[in-house]
Amino acid sequence: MGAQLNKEQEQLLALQEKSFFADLTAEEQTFVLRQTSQDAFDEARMVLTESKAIYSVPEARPLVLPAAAPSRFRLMVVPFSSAAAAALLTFIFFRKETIIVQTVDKPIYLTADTVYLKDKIVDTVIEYREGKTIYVHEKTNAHPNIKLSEKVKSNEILPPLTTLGLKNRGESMREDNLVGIMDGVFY
Amino acid sequence: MFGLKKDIHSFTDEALIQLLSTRRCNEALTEIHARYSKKVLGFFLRMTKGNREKSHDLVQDLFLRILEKHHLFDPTKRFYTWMYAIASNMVKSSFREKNHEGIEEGSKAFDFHHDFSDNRLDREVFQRLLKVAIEQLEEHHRLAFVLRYMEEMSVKEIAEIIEQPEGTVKSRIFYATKKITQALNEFIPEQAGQHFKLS
Repeated sequence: MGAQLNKEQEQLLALQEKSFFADLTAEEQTFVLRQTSQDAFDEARMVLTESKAIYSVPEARPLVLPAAAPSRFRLMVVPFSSAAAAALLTFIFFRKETIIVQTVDKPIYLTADTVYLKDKIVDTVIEYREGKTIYVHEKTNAHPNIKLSEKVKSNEILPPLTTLGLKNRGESMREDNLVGIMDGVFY
Repeated sequence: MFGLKKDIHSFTDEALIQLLSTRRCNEALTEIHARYSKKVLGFFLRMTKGNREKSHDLVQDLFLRILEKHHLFDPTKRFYTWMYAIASNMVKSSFREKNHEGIEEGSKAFDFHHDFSDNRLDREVFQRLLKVAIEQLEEHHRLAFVLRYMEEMSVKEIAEIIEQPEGTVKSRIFYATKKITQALNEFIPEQAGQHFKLS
């Protein structure tokens, strides 16, 4: 018994499904008689037609639907304090900070020749001693302190103290109108 | 329109399957059951040699399986053949369990000493013999025969259900028919060949 039918067997099956021997064309009847007898053919045909009626089929029973699984969430009883805490934590963890994104069409470029910070003012202190020896050092109130030059003897010939015409001798030059700035250092 | 439910009866089988994933799941399954329960009950009866209790249980199991496995349904294919594929597999499993007792409607109790004195079998007797002959077929032959001539499916549909080539389906149908006619002739040897003519 092969897995596949040959051409004649396929045709015979097709004719059995079509009709009884008497209802076939002459050509088909000739073909059938080459393969089997008329009675055998009709018997097979009868098997196919009568098989539909051999079982009486009753109505099916009503479908029994599966019970719906209860939702766990519905059964949970949560104390108010826990719910409030959960809500607060949810708010903290999931809140979103507003991010403002601004698109600038024309970027602005800032330029400056000299920049100094007021809290990093450096005073140059000139000490006149004995009218001849002059020491120069720097002091500042900057925080953190910036690097200052060491106290050195001045190599320059400075005018005598009496000729400076300072309004308040001994006060910081910082408040003085004569004070200028060069390379970040007051003089 | 929002808020209005579409009538469940207007859905196609395939659309009903999609509904099984929604809140209208029970409604959809009930509708599928209404459409096919009797048909598949007939299929199970034919495949379990008329065991009604077993067939009713199989129908119930079939629809529960459809509910469980609806996500495996390929929407490009027909629901009908998919359902029969599940039903066929259930029958195969059922055969493996060898749980087929209780053959009903007297097929075992067939009286082979029927009076054939008039040289002619009446339709009822023929059908009772035919039923026994079909039930004696091997499972794969019976499945092909039942799907073709009792469920009236095309060879292509059967091939899809049993996952075999169409040529194999035709072969099984052909040889199943041949075996049935042989069995009929064995039941009443003196009638063989020429006396199965229904009046």
